[in-house]
Amino acid sequence: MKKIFAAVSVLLLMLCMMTGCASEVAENTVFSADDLEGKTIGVQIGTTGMTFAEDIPDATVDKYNKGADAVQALKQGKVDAVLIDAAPAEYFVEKNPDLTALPDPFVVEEYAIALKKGNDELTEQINSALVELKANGTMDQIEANWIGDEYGQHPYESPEGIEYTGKLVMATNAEFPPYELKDAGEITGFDVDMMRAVCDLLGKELVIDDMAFDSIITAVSSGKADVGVAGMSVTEDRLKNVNFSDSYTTAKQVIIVRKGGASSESLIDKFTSTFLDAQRWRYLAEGLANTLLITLLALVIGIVLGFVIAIVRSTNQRTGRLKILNFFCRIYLTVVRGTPMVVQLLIIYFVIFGSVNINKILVAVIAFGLNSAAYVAEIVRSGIMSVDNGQFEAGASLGFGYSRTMISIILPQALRNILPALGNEAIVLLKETSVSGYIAINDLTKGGDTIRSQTYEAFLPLIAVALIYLLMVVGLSALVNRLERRLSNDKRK
Amino acid sequence: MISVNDLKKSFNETVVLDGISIDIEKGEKVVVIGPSGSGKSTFLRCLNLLEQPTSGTISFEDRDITHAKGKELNEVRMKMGMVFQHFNLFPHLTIRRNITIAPVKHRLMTQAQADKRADELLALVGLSDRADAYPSQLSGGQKQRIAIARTLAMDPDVILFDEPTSALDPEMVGEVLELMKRLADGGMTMIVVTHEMGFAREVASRVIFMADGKIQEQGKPEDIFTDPKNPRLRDFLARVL
Repeated sequence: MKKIFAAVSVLLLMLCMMTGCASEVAENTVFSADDLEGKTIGVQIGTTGMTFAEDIPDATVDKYNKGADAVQALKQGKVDAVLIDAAPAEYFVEKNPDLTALPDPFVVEEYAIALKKGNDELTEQINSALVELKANGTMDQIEANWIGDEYGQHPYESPEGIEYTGKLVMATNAEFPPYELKDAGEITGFDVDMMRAVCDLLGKELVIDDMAFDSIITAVSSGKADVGVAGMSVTEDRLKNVNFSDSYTTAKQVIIVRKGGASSESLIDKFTSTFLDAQRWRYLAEGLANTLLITLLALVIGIVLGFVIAIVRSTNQRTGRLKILNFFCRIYLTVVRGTPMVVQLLIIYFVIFGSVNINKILVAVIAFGLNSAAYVAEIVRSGIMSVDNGQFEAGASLGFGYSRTMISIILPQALRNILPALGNEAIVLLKETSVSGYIAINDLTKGGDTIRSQTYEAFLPLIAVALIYLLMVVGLSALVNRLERRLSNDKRK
Repeated sequence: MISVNDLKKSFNETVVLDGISIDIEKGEKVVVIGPSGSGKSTFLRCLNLLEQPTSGTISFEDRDITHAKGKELNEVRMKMGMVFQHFNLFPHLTIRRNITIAPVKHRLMTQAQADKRADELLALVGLSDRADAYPSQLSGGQKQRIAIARTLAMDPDVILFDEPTSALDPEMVGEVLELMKRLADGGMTMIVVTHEMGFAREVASRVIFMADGKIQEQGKPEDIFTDPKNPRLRDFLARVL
């Protein structure tokens, strides 16, 4: 235990020193759109900025999941410029005094609402609602609230006395301020207020489903969401999969670059802004709860299903029975162990449960449980096969049938042999759940990411997340060790 | 009690048992001897169907059990105990639980009744003080005595011994043979595969000599050991005695 803590503190010290004497970031080299040729450009994946950046000759396009990540990369000198919508750019520049947006827009574009192809009725309803909102000044009010100098002074409030009949699910990606962002855990922003106003006119309750930006079109076309609203402009590629409403606002793509004289904050300031301001520690707490919940439930599924598969497999191996079941088990194991966890998670969420509205945590529990079962199955099978055949014969010679021998004699011994491996699988599973963010679950890793996207500070959130995982794994190992000692009583000499 | 008729067993292409026929009466102590690879152990393991015979029939207490399955097979094995060369005690259970697990799981006794029976059996095999030990804490000879006690706990009609002393250090062979002798004197029906010729001569009511998957010669121990007819047997005895 002491060794581990010593190792952790040394590691932390080294990291602190590394960030302390961070190397100089290169000078800005981009002063106009023409300078972008041959440069490295940061964009948010799936945005129109990305499409434009890819057309720039000889430019390397680094695609980030979030605009904030691209901005962070810019600050660290990993990219030369970031191409992004004007409104978020303004927000980022305001939060980062060492960045600036070039005055000339790169391109001007119009934002619209994505709808499922063929959903003409809703399209028309939304279009006429947009006309009304523009006519009565609501749209101007919302725009004033989110963009420009009067930020936050004109919040949209629903008129009183509206009776909601039914719901309207809006897919978005709350990482694109000021159009959509998280404020103290709530998803808000220009698009959210605008859609709320539209829904108020339609008499529908607005339900927001937060997901990765590049998942929104899929969610809409598969019917998981009714509309996709995320500062999206109409492109030919998107039109292949979805329809768009009329444009509700105009936006520009601008170029953000570094300017000299970055201010350096003290570690205490960074700590305050990372954990205490706006109660950001709550993102970690909520994330930790979700991570633990997913891990625990997935482990239960994994162990139960894993044992069943292992028994089928080893029964077949020993007696030649259960041929068909064994065949399916083998296919299952091959597929699960032969594909990455993230891909399985995405397939289960977007393909298998594609058109079903289902709790995302549940999806994750199923996905991780099914994945873990495959590994548990092979561990348990090796445990069963490691028990001497004489034990089966001794059981049989006392008149025990196969299943009674299995349960009373073989499995207890197998379990003891495989406990370290099972504990290891639990540890792997716990860490593997960090990909839950791919289906927009706020797990521990995502919690750290959310903080990072708000503070533009990578060190503390990431180290905090890493430390929490580390502590959990150390605790889990200790637990497995104790269990192992208790179960190995018969090995005393 | 046990009646075997033209029993044959092959593994893939290899013929291990080539037509064995024998009747064993209640109370008999049959000792099977022969060179290694002669099929002695396979013959024994066919009797309680740990090996499925390729052809021929086996009857036990006037019932054809050759193709017994499931419950019927388990019932046969409850009455036909077996002691293995490598003891095969259950390492995760205490000595007491090793002895009581079978009668308790078969619901023949409550745990309390079985514990009482275990105490008697432990006294019989002379290991009363090791009831709460685990198998790994016992010597080989002690393990084999516990394995015999475990078999006795099911109150079997016959016990099959598959080379019970072959895996033991020489100084421990005596204690196991002594226990088996006492069982024999108590009237237990026993079929013993062994290389202990002294035991065969002293305890057996009938000695069977097997070679090449066949019974080559059988008879009372004094005839077998003093007046062997079969040349293979003569050759075998010349080498082991």
